[in-house]
Parts: sequence; structure tokens; C-alpha cells
Amino acid sequence: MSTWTVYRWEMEKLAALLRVRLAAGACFVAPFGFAVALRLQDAVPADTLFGEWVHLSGFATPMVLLVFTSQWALPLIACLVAGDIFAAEDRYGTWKTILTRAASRTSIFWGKSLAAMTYSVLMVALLALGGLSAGELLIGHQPLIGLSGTLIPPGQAAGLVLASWGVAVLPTLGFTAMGLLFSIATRNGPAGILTPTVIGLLMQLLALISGADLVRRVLLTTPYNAWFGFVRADRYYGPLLWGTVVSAGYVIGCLALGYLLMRRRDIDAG
Amino acid sequence: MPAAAPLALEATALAKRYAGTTALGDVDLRVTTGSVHGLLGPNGAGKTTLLRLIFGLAHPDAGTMTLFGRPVTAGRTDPQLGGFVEAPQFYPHLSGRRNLEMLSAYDHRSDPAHLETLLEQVGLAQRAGDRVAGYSLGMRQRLGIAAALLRRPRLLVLDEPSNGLDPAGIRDLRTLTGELAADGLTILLSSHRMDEVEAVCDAVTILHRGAVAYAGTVDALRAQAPAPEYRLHTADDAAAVATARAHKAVTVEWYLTGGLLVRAQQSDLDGYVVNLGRDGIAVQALHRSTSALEQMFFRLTKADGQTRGAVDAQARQEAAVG
Repeated sequence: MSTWTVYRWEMEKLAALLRVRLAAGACFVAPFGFAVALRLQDAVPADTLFGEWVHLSGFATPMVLLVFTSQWALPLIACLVAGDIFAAEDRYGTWKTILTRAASRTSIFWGKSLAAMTYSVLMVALLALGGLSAGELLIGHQPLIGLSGTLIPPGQAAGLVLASWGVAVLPTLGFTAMGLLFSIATRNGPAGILTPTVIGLLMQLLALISGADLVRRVLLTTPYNAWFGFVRADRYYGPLLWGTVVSAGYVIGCLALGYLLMRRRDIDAG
Repeated sequence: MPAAAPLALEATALAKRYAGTTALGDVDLRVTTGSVHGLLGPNGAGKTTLLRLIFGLAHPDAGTMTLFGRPVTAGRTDPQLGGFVEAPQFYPHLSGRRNLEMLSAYDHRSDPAHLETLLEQVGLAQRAGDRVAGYSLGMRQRLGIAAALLRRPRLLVLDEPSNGLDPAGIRDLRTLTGELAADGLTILLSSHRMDEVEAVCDAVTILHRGAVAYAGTVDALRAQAPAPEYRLHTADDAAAVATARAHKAVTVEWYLTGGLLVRAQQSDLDGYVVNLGRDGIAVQALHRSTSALEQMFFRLTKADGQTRGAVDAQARQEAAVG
């Protein structure tokens, strides 16, 4: 009950923040700008998955957008709220305001964490819907050519696009949890937002090192590619299952550490 | 033998250290139910640390606390306790009313009528719909008092509640404090203003360098105190000094910035002033610069010149306002 109360109020507080409204608007509108830019240029991003089909099928647009945003944008978008949601209490000096009420630290921790997770899922959903809408409206409703070269009919392609974006939710929640942890640990909004984003970029670089397969498997950026297995004729789900395990590991690890830090913390300022 | 008054708050041997520095060492605090208890101390004395421990915001390194007989748990604020530590803070992008509604929800309460009554009581009803970002320091202080009373506490803890309030606001706050105390609410008032504590408190605990320098009633403290100090300006200060020689209980010194510094109990001062008039020496100004309680406070805390100067400046400012 108490966690739900905190969650509800955290959502209201987030909704009242201009940067959150702007981020939500940008997540839906930016894909249209992306689709217009792709349409206006003759060349296509052929070295990107689905990049060579962006002029032929509207369903390729959200897929290319997914590849691009999962490089760094999704971790950053997730941490815009998660990285600041605890640190904002230090900035406003409101820890003592809320921690002197009946709501426990546990309720506040889970209420805030759930609010940040909700925001992350909503942003991914807005990007997916924006990308899908932009592709449909600006390019068209043509079948999508899958990764194995087979044609995927429009209805099935729309489902696969949404499923692929759904897979991206898993590592995004991992980065959200990382943002929450750094928000608690650093008590500083910019540090909470940027540190996980930089870690995400370092993970991308680490993944490029050849022969580091074992390391690559436990990187939080790897599950962003887990959808590769089912946008093809001969589907496989191993990366999806492993990506789920890795993402869950990051979520549980970061939340557990963040919870311990919050429980033990002395509110000696803020 | 009468039974001892029940204790609202009892802290025993409380200790707290921060990075090798002792913020509080072996502190006892006993607040009687129904009393208005002052907590005094110079900056860095440990007042705020003690309040944070009472609210469960920080974990004590040693000691125990009970609130109305129940142990205080670190990390959780007892539902019988309300108030604020340091300046009350709110979410600037929400309105004053919405902030209170949120805090009410965090207390698992919903009593819109009580909330509106409190907004009226603290004089914020007209501005309750405005964002807190546009509030003055005094308005935030008033909102803090409303937030503290929202949960209908049995012990109200106020940390420097008159900060940022204008003279009318301070008068209203004292009236409100008196009304709340008359209704049976126990109040722990942390303040650096001796006049505030003297005006509203029954008992006082003075902290100095993380330890208790005095604990007892205000009357008992006043009884131990040396004579209060007054600033005197006359038409002929040299003659006024000469007149003082006839009054053994009156001490008169030249003041560095002009005028005289007089130390005397009220009745002795009255006699001295009457004599000045009799000797034809016009009294141009006479005001109290430090009260008996302030004198005692300085003695107990061995205040340095800076603190003393700040209090003198405050007294001068109040005299000018008054």
C-alpha cells in the first residue's frame, strides 16, 4: 500500500517536470525526423541491419532506429529519470521531508524505483510507436525483408518490430537500475545520469574486442541484440533467454546494492 | 512525594560521530509531556545532529531513546513525532497544497478539511495553490509548520521555526506555539534565539560541543544567571558613571562604541534611573542588550566574540525594530 502511494506520487512529480515532458515528446517525435532524414537522402545506411531496406519498407525504419538508439541513446534516456530520482531529494533537500513521515525507506525505495522503471518502459514504447508510425506514414506498409532474406508480411512484420523493441526493454531496465544505483551512491543527478551512459559506451567498445566472447556475454549492451534471433526464418531464442538472465542480473544486483545504501544512509544533509 | 511527570522523550547517553569528529557524546535529554522544551546551543553544538537522531534520520553510535515510552528506531520516524530539522524543504514544482497532500498520503492519512484548517492557521490559504518555487523563506517556514502538524503529532519538534519570519510572523508563531502547548501538545523547540526560548519554554537543555552544558527549568537557569546587561545613553555619561557609585548593585562601564554598559537586576536599575533623573541627567536611551538567560548561555558555552557579537547585533536589530 505504502509503496503504491509513493509510486503514484513519484509519477505525478515526474509528470510535473518539464524535462520529462520534453523527453516523452522527443521520443515520439524524433523518429519522424529520423524517417524524414532517411527519406530525403539518396544513400541508405547499408552497413546497419535493415539499413538497406529503409526506402523499401516502412517497417525497416523502427528497426534501424532500434539499432541506432541502443548504442547509447536508450541508456541515456533511461537514466534521465533514474539517475536523478534519488539525487533530486538531495538537491531539493527533501529527504528529511519525506523520511519523517510514515512511509518507510523501503516503500520510498521501491516506489521511486518502480516509477523510474515505468518511465523507461514508456520511453521505449514511445520510441517504438513513433518509429513504427513514422515508417508507416512516410515510407509505407510494404513487407519487410528479414535477416535471413525472406519476406515478412506487413502484419507479422509489425508484430516483430514491436517484439524487437520489447526485447530492448530488458537491458534498458538494467541501465535504469544502474542509474538508480548511481543516483543513490553519488547523490548527484548529472553523475547518476551520465555514469551509466558512459559505462554503456565502454561496454560497446569492449564488445568490439575480438576473442572476448565470455566478457561480451555478460555485458549489459549485448542483450540489445537479442532480437536478431527471431527476425529471420530459422528462429532461435538463445540470445533472448541469456539476455533476459543478464539484464535481470544487472537489475537485481544494482537494486540490491542501491537498497542497502539507502537503508544504511544517514540523512546528515538534504 | 509527587509522581514524576511522564516523559514524552527520553534520550540516554546518545553518541554520534562523523568521520572521526564527535558530534554528540553521551547526551541525555528528557522532555516532559505537555511541556515546551528549549534546545539551545551555539553553531556546531550538536543540536541538529540530536534532532536527526530523534527523527530517525541518522543512526546513533551509542545510546537509547524512547518516545512516550516506545523505543525510537533508527531509519524510521515515530508516528507520534512531527516537525522539521533545519529549514523545511518542499518540491518547488508542486504547489504548497499539493506538497501537503503528498505528505499526508505518505502518512497514510486523508483529511482535506484538516489540511485546509492548517493552511488557514499558518496564513497560507490564499497562496496554497501557488508553486513552492515562488514562496519566500517565511512562507516555506509556515508551510513547514503546517506539514509538521498535518499528522497530529504528540511531540512537535521545531528547528529554528522563526527563521525568515518577519516580526509579525514571529509574534504569530509564538501565539500558535502557546495555543498548541495549551492544547497539551509537547513541543521541543531548537533555537539560537534566547528571547524565543525565554518567552515560550518551560525547560531548556543547552548543548555545547556535543555535550549537555545545562538541563533544567528556565526559571532555575534564570535564578543562577548574572545580572542582565543594558545599553544606556544619557545627556552626561560621565556624571551617570559618578551617580552609579552610590549603587553597589549596579555596574557601569564605558561602552567601546559610545554610551554606557550597565549590569543590574531590574529593581536596582529602576533605582539607578530614578537617581539619574534626580541628579538632572537626562536618559536618552536605555535598552537591554543581553538578558539574564543570554548571560548564562554565554557563561555555559564560553561563547567566543563572534557569537557574542552576532547576538548583540541581533539584540540591537530587535531594539531598532521594537
